Amino acid sequence: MEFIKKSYFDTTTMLTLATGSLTAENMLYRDTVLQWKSENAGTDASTTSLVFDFGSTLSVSRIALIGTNIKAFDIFYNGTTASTLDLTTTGGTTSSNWSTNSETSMYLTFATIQTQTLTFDLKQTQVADSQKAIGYVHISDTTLVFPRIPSAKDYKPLYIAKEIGHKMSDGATRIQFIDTKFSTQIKFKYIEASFRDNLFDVWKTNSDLTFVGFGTQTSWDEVLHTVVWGGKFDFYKYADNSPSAGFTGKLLLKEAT
Amino acid sequence: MSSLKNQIKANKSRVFRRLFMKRREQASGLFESSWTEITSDVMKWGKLKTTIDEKQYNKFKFSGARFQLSNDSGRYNPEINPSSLWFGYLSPQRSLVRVEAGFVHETMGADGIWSRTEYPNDEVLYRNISYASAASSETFSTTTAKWGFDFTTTAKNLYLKDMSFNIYKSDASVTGYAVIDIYQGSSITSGELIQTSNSISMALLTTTGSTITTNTITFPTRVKLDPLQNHFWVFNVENVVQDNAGGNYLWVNRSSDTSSGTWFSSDSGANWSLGAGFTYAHDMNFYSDSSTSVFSGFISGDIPTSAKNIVQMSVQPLSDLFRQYPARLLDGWTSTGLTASQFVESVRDHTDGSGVHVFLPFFGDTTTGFIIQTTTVQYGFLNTSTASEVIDSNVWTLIEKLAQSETYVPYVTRSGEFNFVARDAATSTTFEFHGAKSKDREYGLTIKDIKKFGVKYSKYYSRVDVRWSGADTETSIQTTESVFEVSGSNLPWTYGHKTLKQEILFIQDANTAKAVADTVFDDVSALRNEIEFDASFVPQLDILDRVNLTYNNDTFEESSLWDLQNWSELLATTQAASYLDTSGAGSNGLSALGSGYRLAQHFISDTILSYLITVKVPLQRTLVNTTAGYLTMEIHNSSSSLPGSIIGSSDQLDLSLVPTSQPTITSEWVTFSFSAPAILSVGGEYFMMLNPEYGGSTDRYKWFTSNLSAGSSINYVRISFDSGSSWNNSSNILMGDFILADGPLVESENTLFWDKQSGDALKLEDREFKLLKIELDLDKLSTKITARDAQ
Repeated sequence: MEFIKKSYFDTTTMLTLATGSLTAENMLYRDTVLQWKSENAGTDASTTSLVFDFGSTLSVSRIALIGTNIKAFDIFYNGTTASTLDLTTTGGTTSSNWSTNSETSMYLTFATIQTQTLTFDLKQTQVADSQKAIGYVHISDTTLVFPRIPSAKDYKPLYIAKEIGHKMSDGATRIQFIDTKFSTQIKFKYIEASFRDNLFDVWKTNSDLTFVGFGTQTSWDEVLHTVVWGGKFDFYKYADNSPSAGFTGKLLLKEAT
Repeated sequence: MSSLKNQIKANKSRVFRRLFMKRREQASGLFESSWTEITSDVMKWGKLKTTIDEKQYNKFKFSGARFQLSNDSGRYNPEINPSSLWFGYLSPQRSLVRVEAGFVHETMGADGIWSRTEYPNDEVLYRNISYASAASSETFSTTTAKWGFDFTTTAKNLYLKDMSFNIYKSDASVTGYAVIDIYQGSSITSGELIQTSNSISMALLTTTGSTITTNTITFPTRVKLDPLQNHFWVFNVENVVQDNAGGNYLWVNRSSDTSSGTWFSSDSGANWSLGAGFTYAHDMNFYSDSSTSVFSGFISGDIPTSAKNIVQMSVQPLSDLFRQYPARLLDGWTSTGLTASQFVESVRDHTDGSGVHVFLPFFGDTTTGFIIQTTTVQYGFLNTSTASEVIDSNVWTLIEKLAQSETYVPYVTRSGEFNFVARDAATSTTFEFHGAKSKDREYGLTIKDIKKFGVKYSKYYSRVDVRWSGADTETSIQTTESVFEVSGSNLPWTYGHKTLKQEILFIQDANTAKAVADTVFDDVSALRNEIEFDASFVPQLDILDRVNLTYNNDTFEESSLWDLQNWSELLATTQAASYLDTSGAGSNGLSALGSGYRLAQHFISDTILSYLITVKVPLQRTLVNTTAGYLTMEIHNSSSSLPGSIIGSSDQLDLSLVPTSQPTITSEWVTFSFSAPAILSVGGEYFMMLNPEYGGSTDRYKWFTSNLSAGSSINYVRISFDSGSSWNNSSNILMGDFILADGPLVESENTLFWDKQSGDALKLEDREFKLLKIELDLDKLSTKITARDAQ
């Protein structure tokens, strides 16, 4: 569980691609239904490359891919195919080369690299010879990795729909749905002062945050959202009668966009 | 299958709302090229309202819009603030605003790729008539060859945007260009050329057809296609050049669709043959322009911010641009004046004197943003900016007055297109609303509540006065009015002789004023119902669209119509011969001659109500020898299965009200009203007896049936040739159709319902209305509609 930085990939001008430029913008949006799609590349015989150039060297240790249909692909940095990522998330591979991927989303954590470019070489699709597609790409580094995770009862992720209910003339109900937003409440007990202080730094940040629940390379629940942490900061409250017991408090995170 | 109708009726659907704005450059003052989306800042959307005829006949009224926006990021600060969206641009005032709303349908294919379709989307007339293999192609080998394809437009006004074909050439040496010509008319030889596409450069074509790629063909201006008209598109290769000798030089793929409608000419269109030269339809995409836009306007007025950083943004409809502009600043006047359409064109083309358009940038910066129907009357005073009619007027006032003079309507469509067109509402239904117990699989149930329904007596007028001249002369007021007489069927007598006065001083002569009076009279001189109802989100409707509405709040037929024997709505033509002939020996249906003849139908009252007020039957007067007279319908007790004592008689029905042609719909049936109700008992057996005694001794009437097998031990007929002294019960005679009701019936075409009375439920059956007011609540995603009986 962690807060990560805003995606370095925040404009299509930093992306070089040979196909599907009209839909490249879709990879910027968390809405996975909006996808980048290759054009005239519906064959597993050819590779489609996406090259992200951040304009300067940055620290990168997290990549999220959501809504993809890619089976075989490589990720490398600084334009060198041998410069693969040293993955630390549990998955089928520890280097960033996949040949039989069946996941539609994955959260990659890896040893921090310093790079100006990242390259995705997309080779084959899960249904052979389909157009290649990716819904969302998030490339960044960590802001705060929680040193511990909350207990099950203290982590309450919710998806809340914005919808309008109509009471029809026959008594039936009709719902017109507008969008879904994520929110969560996380409660910690007995945390150390250092974690409290780190949380306080995050809370004081005059900016939105990117929250990741339990990022995994396989069977990921796709909990990665841009959130705001509003309201009070109450982690200065002691968890028990002894100061050494640590602190207790709650985070209330609501999706921002 | 996903479609707008399916999205509207879905129990759960996804809706989108988007808000865009377009700023003006600081130096040039012109609009930037692209829209900026500000949806994420919207806290409240408000309502969008359009009305016609509310206060004044033929007058549109457009509401503005008011959006509540979050200004946490300072984006709506004044343009001098660096965080403002307008920093570096002109003031937010007069920035363009567009609202889009509709449904979105999302599905993921087996290949892991999502498809996302928004509705309303481009209405497709013909799309992807399936591509065949590259081997199936039509060839052009001579520049005099032409191919055509006919198609009929749908009910709405459509705008042809582009077409797509798969075209390829024989080799790289082929140059020049081809075009698509659009014709309108009943035949391809006499059709009028209404548009030619932009050219399709041969240089851009591939030399192989093995891979299906489409070539999109666009049009220089949007082509308006009149609804429900026959059209043709024609592939014209006159300007294609083949540099090498011999052989076919251009191919267009064709499908295996063998439908008719393909035409061929070998002599540049002088002669055409249907289906000759090739058999198959060609591939085509054919769109009409219908966007998700629901409002277009411009920012005007104060933009206050609250302590909570909430901004109110007022947006005016585009029509207000004309209201703000003095007419005297226009140009294009000619010494002989202008027609109304020429005046509107001069508004469209008006520049600031340096060649920069004043209004066009607000309408897509293209002349196709103005739909102007041609008018012919010359308005002499439109010859100078100092004319008295011009000098103190704004542009909108002049446009409105000219529209009144022409019985036109000026309005801006949902998508921001200016229209100056005749008030000819759509002639066919664009949507159906259903409510309460009405079930419809195609449109589903969309009515939430009916707020008001009833006859709009306040909009009934028996006389229309049009004053066209300020002088007090005999002809300065032209009048069209109903004949007034004291009669039960005379509307002025029944509802009052009411006058609608209109002063349209722009009208140039008495004849035109009379024509305007006639047109308005046609619209206002009939009693019409108005309805106001709430529906779920239906975003695609426009003012004057026609809709059908069915609302069934109760079991009307069982409780309100006592008996109903209308076996089918439309009478089959075979019934034309189904009547009793002069000898009384006919085998089907019923008829009667005058003196002494009686037709009586047996029925059983089956409701708890006991007052018979209305009897409605399909009668035709087939022999007309009498100029005056009347019919009555009598109700008799049944005695030994024969008509017995009379218990009620209808009011006299004037013979002139009996149609001389076969009635085909219930609205054409004749209605017998009982001022003194016939009192019936539940389960009682009775006869309704047609008495033509005073209808002329030699006239003949047919009483039609819609069921040639109708007739039973309950529903049977008795006839008499001696004024009821004796009765014939021929077993071959069929039951005629009838409706008995305990109240007055009101009907329009294909519609029959019982006027609501106290304690009874409202029922509307497939009733056609035209829309007068549409209010789209974008926060509640609901639609409030006011509509009037369609004519």
